[in-house]
Amino acid sequence: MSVRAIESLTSRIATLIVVIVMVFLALVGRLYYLQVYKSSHYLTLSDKNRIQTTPLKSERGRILDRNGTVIAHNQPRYHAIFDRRKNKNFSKALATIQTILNLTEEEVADIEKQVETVPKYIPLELKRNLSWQELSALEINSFDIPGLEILQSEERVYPHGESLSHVLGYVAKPNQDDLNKNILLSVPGVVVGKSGLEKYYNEDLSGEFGTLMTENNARGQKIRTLSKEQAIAGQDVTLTIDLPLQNHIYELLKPHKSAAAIVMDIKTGEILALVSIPGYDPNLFTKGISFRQWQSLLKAENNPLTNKVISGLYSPGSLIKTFIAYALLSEPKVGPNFTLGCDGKYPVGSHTFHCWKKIGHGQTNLLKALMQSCDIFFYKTTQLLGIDKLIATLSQFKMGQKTGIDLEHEKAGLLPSPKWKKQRYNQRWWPGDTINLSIGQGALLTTPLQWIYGIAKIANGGQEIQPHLRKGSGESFDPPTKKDPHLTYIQKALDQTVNSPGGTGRRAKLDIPDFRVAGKTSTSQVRRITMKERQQGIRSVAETPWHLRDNAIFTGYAPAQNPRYALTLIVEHGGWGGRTTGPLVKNIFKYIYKHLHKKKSNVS
Amino acid sequence: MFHNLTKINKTILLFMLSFVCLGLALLYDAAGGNMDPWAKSQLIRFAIGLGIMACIIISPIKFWIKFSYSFYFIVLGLLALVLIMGHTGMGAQRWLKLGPLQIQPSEMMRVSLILALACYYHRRTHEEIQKISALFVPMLMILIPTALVAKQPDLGTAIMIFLSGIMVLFIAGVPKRVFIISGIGLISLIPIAWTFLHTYQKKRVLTFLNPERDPFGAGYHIMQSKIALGSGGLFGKGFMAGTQSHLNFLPEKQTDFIFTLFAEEFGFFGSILLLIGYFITIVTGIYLGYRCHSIFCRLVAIGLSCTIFLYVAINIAMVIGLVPVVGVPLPFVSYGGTAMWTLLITVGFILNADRYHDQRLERYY
Repeated sequence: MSVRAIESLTSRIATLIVVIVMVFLALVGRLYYLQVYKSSHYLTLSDKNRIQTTPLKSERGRILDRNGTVIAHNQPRYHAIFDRRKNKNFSKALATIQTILNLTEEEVADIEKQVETVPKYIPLELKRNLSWQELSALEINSFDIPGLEILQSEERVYPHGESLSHVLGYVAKPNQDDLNKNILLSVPGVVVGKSGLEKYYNEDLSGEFGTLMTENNARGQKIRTLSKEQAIAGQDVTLTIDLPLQNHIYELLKPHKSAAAIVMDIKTGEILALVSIPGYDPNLFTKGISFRQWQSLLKAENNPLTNKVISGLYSPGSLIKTFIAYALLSEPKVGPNFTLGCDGKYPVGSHTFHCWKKIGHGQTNLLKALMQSCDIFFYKTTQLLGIDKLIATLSQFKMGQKTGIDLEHEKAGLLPSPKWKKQRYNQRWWPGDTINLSIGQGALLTTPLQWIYGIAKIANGGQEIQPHLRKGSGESFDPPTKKDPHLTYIQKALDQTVNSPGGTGRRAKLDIPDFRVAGKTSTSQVRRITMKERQQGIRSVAETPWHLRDNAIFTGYAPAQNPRYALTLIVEHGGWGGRTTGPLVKNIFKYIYKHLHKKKSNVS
Repeated sequence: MFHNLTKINKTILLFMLSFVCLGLALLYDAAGGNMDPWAKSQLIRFAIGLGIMACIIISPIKFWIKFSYSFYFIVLGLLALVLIMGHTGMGAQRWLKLGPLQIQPSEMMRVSLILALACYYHRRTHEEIQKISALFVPMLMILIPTALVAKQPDLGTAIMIFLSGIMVLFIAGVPKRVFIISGIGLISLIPIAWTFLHTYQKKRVLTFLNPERDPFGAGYHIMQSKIALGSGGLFGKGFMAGTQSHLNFLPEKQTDFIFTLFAEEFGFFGSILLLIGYFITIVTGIYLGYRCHSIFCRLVAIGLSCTIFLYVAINIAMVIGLVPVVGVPLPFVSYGGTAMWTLLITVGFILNADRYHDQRLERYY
């Protein structure tokens, strides 16, 4: 090594050591400042815990309908809490508190669990929703037991609970998962959204915690407030729901045990009503639902806790023909002028498929096939079309896909395809599978929300929309610049389905000339192939029990001449589609005409 | 192979052993006077690490000159793999699962980067190093792993990898003006770098500047750490008698914040003694490097000693509120297997380099 290099090395190592020494001196200096110079200051902070920081709860935002009517708000309630910073000997106090508040063993166990898991700066929650007797008993005794306090907070109230239960969802005390994410949620009186919109918009509704810094004396009593950062109240959430319409539909469908309905603005994707029958009372959850009540809700007939509009999976039945028609119109082998004869039977291999009308429909073109729901026409034409094009079109209408509505637990369902069948069962796709699909049966599973999305896209001329429940949350898309003649064709067919004497939807015909209803009825076979059945080898509809009646479905819109409101309705086990749904559809559209449509046109 | 084996430096070994013992005592203390859950498993990890360290000490240095680049590229590949398929822990991807083993390539990078840089300069003359163009390859060698680790995101380790690399460059003899000019450049880049930080990283920096911003969240650690440290006073509250650390005011008291526990119980004097211990260890390591005849050995010993320095400086500065909380353990004391093993490997290499201090090694093997 050269002399220059060695000199350079020595000077560089000297520099390095100087840097290290300086850093260490800085550390020592800081430690001296903290541990010697400021020691007494920190000693006070630690030993007497003089300065207390207390989280402040924010008020949950309200939920309003599109007209500004309040559908979820807060009411004051009183809770018994205990601040352990003011009384170190909590276990001793607990015995006395137990007699004052009449706490059960279960409640005591819950409190003891809190002692271990909740940080000290958050008070323990002893009992929620005190009665007047408990409140006065506490007020007399709280003086003797430091730390025992009464907390006022707000309880969620849903004035139209049942009808809106599936839209709003409910709130409840945070569970362990919630607490793991944010321990501040253990502040007494705090609730979190557990389902529906309360869950989806929980963050907006909750607001933010504030902080209160106080200086306390040795006995934990407040001397003065040092600083207060107000909690930020949660935002109000305004919905697209029209409360009167929602309630009207709920009351109308209630006698039908198990049903669902949606009304949507086809141009904006705003959902005006979303009903799932049976409902439940969300107010039960805010009061703290008992285990027995919860069990009975879970086990109740017809699943009141399931929102059938977004999580109910059904075969769409002949409703699917509306969407298939769109594929057929652009298929050169079929097109609008294609005609065939229907004699009620269609043999494929060893199996014969039937039309719902035994004697057949005779010479049938697409318009008639849609209007009278001819099965044979769709069996044959979809064979010409081929499965790939069929699936591509059904995907365009979001069959078997989530629509992305602002609710939790939306289900996608299933659009079967050769690839899916290969993966799932390692079987090839048979022509019979396409035939099943062509009338909306077989493995196909869809939600009512997908139906209304599909029909809206037909009614609005192919414009993209985002179904949504919070006003202003849906993305808005530009309407198409050109009219799609194929969609106009389908619109005409849907108009005639309802308004011409031979149509399957004639019972939904409304005698209001400027508010004609257009739509498609559907009777879908109830097939419930459970996982257990699948394991036993039962895979097709024919093998499942038939004792369940069919589901009655209607999907359509009004006014036919200038579409605006789409309606989807399903009555489970309602029997033949047109007969059951017809009067209901008429009733709902009449209501929409009177209360929404006429008002709007009067204003404009 | 056994050249100078009996003459290996005892000072470093002795100090290392006392740090580990102190760590075990503190872990026992943190668990409220219990070997479980931390002290026992730390002891087992230490025993395994000791074996790895012994292997490194007796290994021939020629092997490391020959394979230091390969070693570097393997670790770099693992780092890239972590980003693609690593296990996410606490919001960051750091772990890689190899069969039953969980490895943290960012930790291994601390060592392999130093070896590779040392090898690079070992193969060049003093005159070659003076050229600015000779900076290109070493800078790439430093910046690529730094970027990969920062992306995980593990800011603390990224900063350490970067700084230790720069320190090697300095000792290797890169012209001083390079450091001055790029230092000024870096400071002016801070506003731009800010926009690239994750929200949680920004939050940590902001909370560091003003802990009262978030008294329940991020600022909580620093506030509580300061209260615990400060209340320790001159002589501390005594072993196992810390109030703040024991009342669960301090999350992570067994890992990154273990110095707080120590300082609360042993006071200012205890802290000073510990700092002196670390200082002697680091300076001894640098001295061992200084007396080496070959460039490779010198840069390995000094570079790795600087790594230990960075661990100590960043960890303590962070718990006493001088720098933001970035997640760097206190060497040999904090709970954690990977950090412990990396440090034992680090010491292993320092001692291995020292074993060959009187040899002039070839450039290529």
